[in-house]
Amino acid sequence: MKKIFVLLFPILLFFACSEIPPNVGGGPIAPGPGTIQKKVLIEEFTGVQCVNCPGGARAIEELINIHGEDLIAVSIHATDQFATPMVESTIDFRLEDSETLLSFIEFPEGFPTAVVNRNLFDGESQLQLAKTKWAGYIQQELSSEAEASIELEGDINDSGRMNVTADVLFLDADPSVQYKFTLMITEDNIVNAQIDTSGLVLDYVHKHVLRDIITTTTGEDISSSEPVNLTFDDYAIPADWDNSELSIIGIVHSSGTEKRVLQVEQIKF
Amino acid sequence: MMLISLYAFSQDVARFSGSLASNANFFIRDTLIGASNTPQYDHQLFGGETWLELNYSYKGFTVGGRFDAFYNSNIINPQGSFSDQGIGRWFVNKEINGLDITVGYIYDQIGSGIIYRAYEQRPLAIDQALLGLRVAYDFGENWTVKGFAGKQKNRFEVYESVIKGIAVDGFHSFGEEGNVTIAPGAGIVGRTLDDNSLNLVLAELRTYDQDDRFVPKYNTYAFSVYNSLSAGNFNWYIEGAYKSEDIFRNQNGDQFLQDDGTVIYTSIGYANKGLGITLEGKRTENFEFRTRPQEQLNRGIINFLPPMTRVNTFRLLARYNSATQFLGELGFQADVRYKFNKKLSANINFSNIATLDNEPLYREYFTELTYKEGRKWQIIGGVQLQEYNQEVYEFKPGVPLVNTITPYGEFLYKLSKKKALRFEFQYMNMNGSDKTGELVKNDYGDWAFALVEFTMAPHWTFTLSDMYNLGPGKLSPIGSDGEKAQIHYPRVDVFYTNKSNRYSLSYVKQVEGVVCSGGICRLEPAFSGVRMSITSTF
Repeated sequence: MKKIFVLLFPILLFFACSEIPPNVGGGPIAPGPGTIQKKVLIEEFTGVQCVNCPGGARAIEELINIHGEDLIAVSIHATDQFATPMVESTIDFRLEDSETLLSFIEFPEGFPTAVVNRNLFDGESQLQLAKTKWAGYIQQELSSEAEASIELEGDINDSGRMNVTADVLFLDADPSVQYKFTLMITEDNIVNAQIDTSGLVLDYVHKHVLRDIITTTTGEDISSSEPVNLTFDDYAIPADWDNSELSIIGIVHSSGTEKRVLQVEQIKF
Repeated sequence: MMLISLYAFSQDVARFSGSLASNANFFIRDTLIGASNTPQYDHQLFGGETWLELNYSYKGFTVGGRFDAFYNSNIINPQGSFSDQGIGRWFVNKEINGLDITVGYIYDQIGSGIIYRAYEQRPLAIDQALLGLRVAYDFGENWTVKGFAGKQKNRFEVYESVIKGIAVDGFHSFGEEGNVTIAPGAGIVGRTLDDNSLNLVLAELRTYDQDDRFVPKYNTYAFSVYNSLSAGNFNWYIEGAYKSEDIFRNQNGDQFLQDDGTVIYTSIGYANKGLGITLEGKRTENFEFRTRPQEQLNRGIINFLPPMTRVNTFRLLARYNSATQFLGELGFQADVRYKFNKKLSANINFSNIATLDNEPLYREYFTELTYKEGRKWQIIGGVQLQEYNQEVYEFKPGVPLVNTITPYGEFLYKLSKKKALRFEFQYMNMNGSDKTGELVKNDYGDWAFALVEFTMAPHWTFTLSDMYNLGPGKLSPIGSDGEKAQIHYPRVDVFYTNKSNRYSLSYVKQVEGVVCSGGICRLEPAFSGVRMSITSTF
């Protein structure tokens, strides 16, 4: 009898109680009034020959629709295997900066892949995240407190020269960490060929494509002990870029082995 | 490389044993074949892995540990670099009055592994050990009950989901001299998602349209019933499994779904007087079982589904493989072997795998004839025909089915008692498509492979081989002249074996590939460089 009980007890434990289901509804948690919102940077690594990457791009657009200006996306075309232009391509999106950035952040296991605020989240073994993890970690970052604020101003004159100023104020900094500032420029709504699950799409619309990193790829040193004012003058915008679709993105982040983004800001021209 | 040998005696029946496996890769950049643009080729130039296992048993107690080390290793992520070291495994085992207790990192399985298998496969960077507790109790001579609970290993950490299971296994013999035996069994495995993983699922679900949302379950249960029957020359294994609602990604990998799943697997064998026949069949539907639904590729898998195709050892015959489709497949395999006499034997194998909608995935016809002339020489020859769905297995939309015909041969000649020569030759003919009036071969096109091996027993083996892309296809690299290049991929190996120690040194050029599975595309880069390895058992 005892042996039967010993046998049955663990089986019964499996079916002890039915679970109380979680609440699937609900939206993003908004910050309180007067607080600075921590914004989130999602850097997606992609390529025109990556058949699964448009799925990642669609997921990012969906997340931008939900979070609005609080989510800032950059699409980085990298690796010769996926980003090499096809015969049908009219633009080569590859940059030397893209390969350097990929090497600096981390090589992914597969595409589509993205890093969220360059943060190594609890339970993860790498910065690069698969698509099904983006929504949750973006929400988690949006709910955390801002550690810095960034104000960007910029203009493009009639000669096609861009001038940008960035004001950075640290709200919570570790004095032992050397912080960095990176300035990127992206272009939205570029029509160029792309391989999708349906095949080759000649008029695919590429969003927030990284066009250049104006600072060094891994950022410039900034001090966290006092307000920082940075100016970037006289940047020549290439003639084939559409000025009305350009955005400037300023990123404050850690350096060394921890690459975490403290704050990000974007302005559109 | 340093030879490590540890050997110690203790009093009474104490035993000290272990093993060492160590790999070292030196990377030589070769941009033509794509061996470049990874940290190892760019600046690290070296990568390696080591596993040192030590076990000690005394008076019924067994304790063991394993030191794992990864240095600039690309074994986990072929495109990246991983460095870490530490205790990869430890365990303590003791049997007390019929109750077997193990704590630590545990390898085990239920039935054939369909609902649970914790195992290790180092070349694929798979280590699914369970960190927890396992108890097993023998009810008499014929029945064993075991239970376990814990968390699955994730490199040097653990996944936070909790896994628990229980299984009953029996054995009984019938008839005179016990020539009919049955070994029935049943098992249950439960997985409880951790809060963080479920919250990630909820955040993802909130981006879906209302029609695509579902209420995710924390708990998933998998049940399995199986039996192995052996009667004279026949043996028959059958296993049926059911998994309750579980969260998994769709075929494209861009959306979560939740559904229950089933697997039925059977294998029948007959062996008598030189004839061996094996028939296998498997049907799978929605049976991806992971520690958390966010994991992909080889990560966080709790179970193991038996493959339905033969394992090919010749290089070109093994080029295309059918990856198990967890979401749905119907597979069948038949293998017939016959030994005509002491000299001549034959093997025919057929396998066919399709989706549940009868879309072809993989088909293979394999034939092999072996002739042995005493102990002097031996010749093996045959042909393989393959049909391979590259669109599904490698996620390349619109790509036609790959069809190959690969004749092959091997000749082994013993020069003396201790010296032997072996030759291999294979030729793969690839099908093509004709869209522009010119036939363009699929994938990498036609290949030829040749190998010569010289063995000086008991210590030395020397191997020289070349895999030659003699008829380049769509994906073959383009040379400096702007044309598809006919590239050689040579390899030189030296092996030295001394008792339980084996050393190898190889110069390798290996072709690259892109593998897509579950909606994720993974680069398997080409390799160019020198490999060294040591294995030792003590």
